Amino acid sequence: MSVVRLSEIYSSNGSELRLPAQGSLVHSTFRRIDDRVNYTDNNIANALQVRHVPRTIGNDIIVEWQISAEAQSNAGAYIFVNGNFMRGLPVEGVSLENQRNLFSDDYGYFIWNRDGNTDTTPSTAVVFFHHKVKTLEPLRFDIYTDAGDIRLNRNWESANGSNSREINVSYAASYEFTSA
Amino acid sequence: MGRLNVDTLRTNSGRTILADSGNIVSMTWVWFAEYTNFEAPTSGNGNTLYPLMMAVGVQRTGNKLIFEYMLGGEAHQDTSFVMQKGTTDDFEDDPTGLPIITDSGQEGYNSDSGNNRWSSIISGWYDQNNDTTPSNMRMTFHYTPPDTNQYIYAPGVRSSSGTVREYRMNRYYSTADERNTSFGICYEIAG
Repeated sequence: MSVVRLSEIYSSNGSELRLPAQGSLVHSTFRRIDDRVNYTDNNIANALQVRHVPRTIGNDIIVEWQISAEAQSNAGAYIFVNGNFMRGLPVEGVSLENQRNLFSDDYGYFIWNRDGNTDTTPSTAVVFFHHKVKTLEPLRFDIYTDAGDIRLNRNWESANGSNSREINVSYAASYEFTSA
Repeated sequence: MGRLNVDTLRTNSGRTILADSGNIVSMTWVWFAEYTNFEAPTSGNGNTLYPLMMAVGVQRTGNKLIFEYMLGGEAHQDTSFVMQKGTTDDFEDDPTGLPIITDSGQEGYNSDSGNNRWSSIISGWYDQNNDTTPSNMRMTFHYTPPDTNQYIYAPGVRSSSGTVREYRMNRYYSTADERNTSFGICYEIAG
């Protein structure tokens, strides 16, 4: 069967190009995390690791986490790619503003929600991360905790849960989109 | 042209654009801009957030559904949000209490903790009071249905404590003057 390119696909009346060359979802991975794990300051939260084998160099990967946890009020987090904090410049996993302050306790890729106490109610953090595919080597995306402890999928007080002390679920996904 | 295989579709520069798995094959969404209150019971599978119900049937067994919700409103910090699924018969029997999802590995609550009142997908946001500030809560749920039948999906809310609590959707507790909205979207991903 002959190959069809997007530039050859038109609307039903033949007047308009119909599909974009950039932004089509071509590959995705999904994870559900039920484990309740405590992570102390300056550790990779292994349970949240996302693995993705890219399809094509140049594609854009969006990694997305929904993380339920109760964290100490100062706790932040960075993103590691294949175990590396720095992948050349600019540094991935840290905002440009924050690059001057790498591993400062006051900065992070994101900061865990503060709800006024470490007590009985976990919070939900939503994290998005972009990675441009440079090689086809398998990718590992990690969350690195910084400046405070977190208790994943659980409240602070009770690992087993009890009245008012909730136990939750976290999710992760990676989406690979075509680039032009 | 009568037929096109996925691997013959290419970008303009020649890259393969689709494969047998990983692409989105359908999308369903729901939006709710009115406000209503939900009691969060201390036992059972939770009250169904019926304004956010979506009826979805996958095109092929093995496809995965990705649910994402934006829940507006104010919820007591002892509320828990679970995921429910039912048939049309279930809905007709009780539209406020669809069955909770119990499929192994895909439970609508934390599988390690089991189906108890403090086990859920997310907890009600704790902003230190139930007063004048609604929150924006995010809830994700992944699910691979066992067949291609159409089912009704929705979040449910229950209390994590021994006291009945409340979730006031799209409004805050003290009055209903300040309002926001709630949204749900479901992507079907080819498996």
